[in-house]
Amino acid sequence: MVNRATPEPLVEALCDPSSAARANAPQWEALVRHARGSNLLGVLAERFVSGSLLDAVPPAPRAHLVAARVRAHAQAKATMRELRAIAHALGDVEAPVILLKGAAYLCAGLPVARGRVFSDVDILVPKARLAEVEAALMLSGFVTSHPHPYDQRYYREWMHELPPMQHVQRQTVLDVHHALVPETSRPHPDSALLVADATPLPADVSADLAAGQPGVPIRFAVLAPADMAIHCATHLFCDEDFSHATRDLVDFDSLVRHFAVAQPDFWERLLPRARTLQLARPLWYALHWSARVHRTPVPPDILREACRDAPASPLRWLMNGLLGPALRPTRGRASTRWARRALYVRGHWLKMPPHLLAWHLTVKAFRRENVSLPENADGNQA
Amino acid sequence: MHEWDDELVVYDDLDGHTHHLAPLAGKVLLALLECRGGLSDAMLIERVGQLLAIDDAQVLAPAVEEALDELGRLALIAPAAA
Amino acid sequence: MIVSELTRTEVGRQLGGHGLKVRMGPIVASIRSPMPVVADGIGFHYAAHETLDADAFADFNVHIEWPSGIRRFVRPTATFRLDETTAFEPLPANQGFPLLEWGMNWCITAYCDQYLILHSAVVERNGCALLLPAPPGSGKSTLCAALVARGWRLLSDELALIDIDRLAVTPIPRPISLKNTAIEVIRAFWPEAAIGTVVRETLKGSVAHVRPPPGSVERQHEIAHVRWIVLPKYGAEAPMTLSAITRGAALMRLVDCAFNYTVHGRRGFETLASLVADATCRDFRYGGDLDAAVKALEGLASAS
Repeated sequence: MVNRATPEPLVEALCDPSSAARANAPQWEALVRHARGSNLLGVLAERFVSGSLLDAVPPAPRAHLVAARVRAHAQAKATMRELRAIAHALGDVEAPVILLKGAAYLCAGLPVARGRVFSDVDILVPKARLAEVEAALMLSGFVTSHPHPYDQRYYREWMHELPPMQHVQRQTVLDVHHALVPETSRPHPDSALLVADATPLPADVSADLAAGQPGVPIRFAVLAPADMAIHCATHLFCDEDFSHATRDLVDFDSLVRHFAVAQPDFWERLLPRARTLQLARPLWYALHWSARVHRTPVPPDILREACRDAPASPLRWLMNGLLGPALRPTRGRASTRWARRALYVRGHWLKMPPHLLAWHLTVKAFRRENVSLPENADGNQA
Repeated sequence: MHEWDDELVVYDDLDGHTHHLAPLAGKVLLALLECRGGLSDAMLIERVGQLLAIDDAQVLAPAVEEALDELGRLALIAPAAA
Repeated sequence: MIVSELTRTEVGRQLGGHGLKVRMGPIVASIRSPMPVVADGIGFHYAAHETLDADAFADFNVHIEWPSGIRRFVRPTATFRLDETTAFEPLPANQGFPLLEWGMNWCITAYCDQYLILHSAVVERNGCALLLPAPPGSGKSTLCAALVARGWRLLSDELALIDIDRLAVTPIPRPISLKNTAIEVIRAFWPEAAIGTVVRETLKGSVAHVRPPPGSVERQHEIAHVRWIVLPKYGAEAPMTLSAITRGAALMRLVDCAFNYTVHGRRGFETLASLVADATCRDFRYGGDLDAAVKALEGLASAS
């Protein structure tokens, strides 16, 4: 049995919106604040709508839920516009383009997309086609948002993505990945496997993306269900930025709940696939914490089996101590802030070998102070 | 889409832009929408002439051409696939 | 209970404790600040506003803070924070009250997307609202203060909250913000105006706020339908003109003045189209003669 963490009002309301019906004014205020701070107001609103409970919410908090729905709806429309433009830009590049995270959830029509807001579009293309894709995007008006030579080198040599690109007119940001994790990190999931198993978009979504631009091919796909859940877990537990942790765990819970019902062989495939991709450790963390925090219905045998990829006891205790507070909705608790800071360092540690990490953090620290450093990392042996 | 007096204001749901069209461009767009785009140049000019009560194809032709250019620039219309 | 019924000590105690909850039209702000300039500013400008119990729902929990310890005395600054989010760079501490006003504007424009929000002053007479949408520097606050001086009800001097379902303006009467020369212009035009401390050298120059009349604050629950849309433009030398503008042109100007037009998509378009269709739309250029400007607007209001 998995121990339940102390119930959080936000998590309770997301799992069971009807539990909020008895809330008093201060509890509603806290709920709105935590949901806003965790970027989950729109998701919370949609959970009330699914349960036909929105009208039962008192008018004052309801206004915030209504506003968040308006914003989330607008963002979904804006994302579709952006994807139309990206499809147009990549019209002549005959490479598969895999949508990741928010854009993928939206286009695949998954429940996790309901009310979810996100800032950037993320795509994954085969590494061999990266230069071609980048050139086509630049021709259509995307420019790099990190022109500093150190940043360029940081991304191009060590990361799993190009430096973020921004469109000069639309100001939208696009992240072009060629792998799920950085080049320098310990696991090396093979992107070719991801591309081979990718799922095409539903026909109506492809038709919508082609609207207004006859002749533009739509080559978008999304990761297969197991890969999508594994990527979500990896993003959550290997990233140095834990400020989105609460939201990411909500994503993971929603994805797993959906696929467990919609894909009969989801559980069978999940663990072997994660091992093939060398991402079993983050998957274990995600399954463990999702079951613990969100009561995600993970079959007990799967959880036991996943536990074989858990870290050894001392590290596990340490990580549990850090992750508990870090996964809480933001409320400025000192323990949350400290846990997130420690995990920031851990996230970098996972991404890079120590000597590169030391150099990277030094350059970042000096740049904050506006001191110039020689452009030499001398870290190529990695 | 809203039409007041001679002007037309349109909201393009595809790109989220709002456009305020001069009377002629407005009539050209209306004529194209009526026929779902399937119009020859001559038919278009004739229809726009009817809408504006101008019966002089020679005067209208270059103006309609210009209006089509403007509508294309605003991405409100795209040339039909050949 | 209204703010003026609290003693200055009590205002300071609530601001320094769980927060002073103030109703501003449809929203309730819970304000916390240890700074005397903020307590004084709220006591003066929000005197007529309702204050709520500690256990009432607050829409926004905002803080105006100064640095801890010795730094408060070396280089005193004020920082605005909504929950964990710091929205602006710190400002000199004497700008604490204007910072609260700008911070509240930010909260409303960033989070109140249940409304279509226009950058506009709104006043009302006989149940009909006059909308004065304009970019900053067009003199809309000056006109707004002058009309309020002549008995119009203040709905807002900066943010028109358009209720999309009811096609009406939801009042949010807050202090009217005057900048630079407008402060003296209003003092001369409206000697009884309750104008707070003039804060100099802000990013917007000198700033002072006018306390909204108690009558406007008491009626902050009464929505109003838009009858006139006047697009003001101030030019010191320009002759005054109040001229007709087509509905299409007015709509495009409203689009430019909306904070969240794109968020509302087609509904936003339909809402603005309905507003211009039902209103008398005018372009208004006016110069130094505020009295003549107000007369021209009152003439428009009585004629249509």
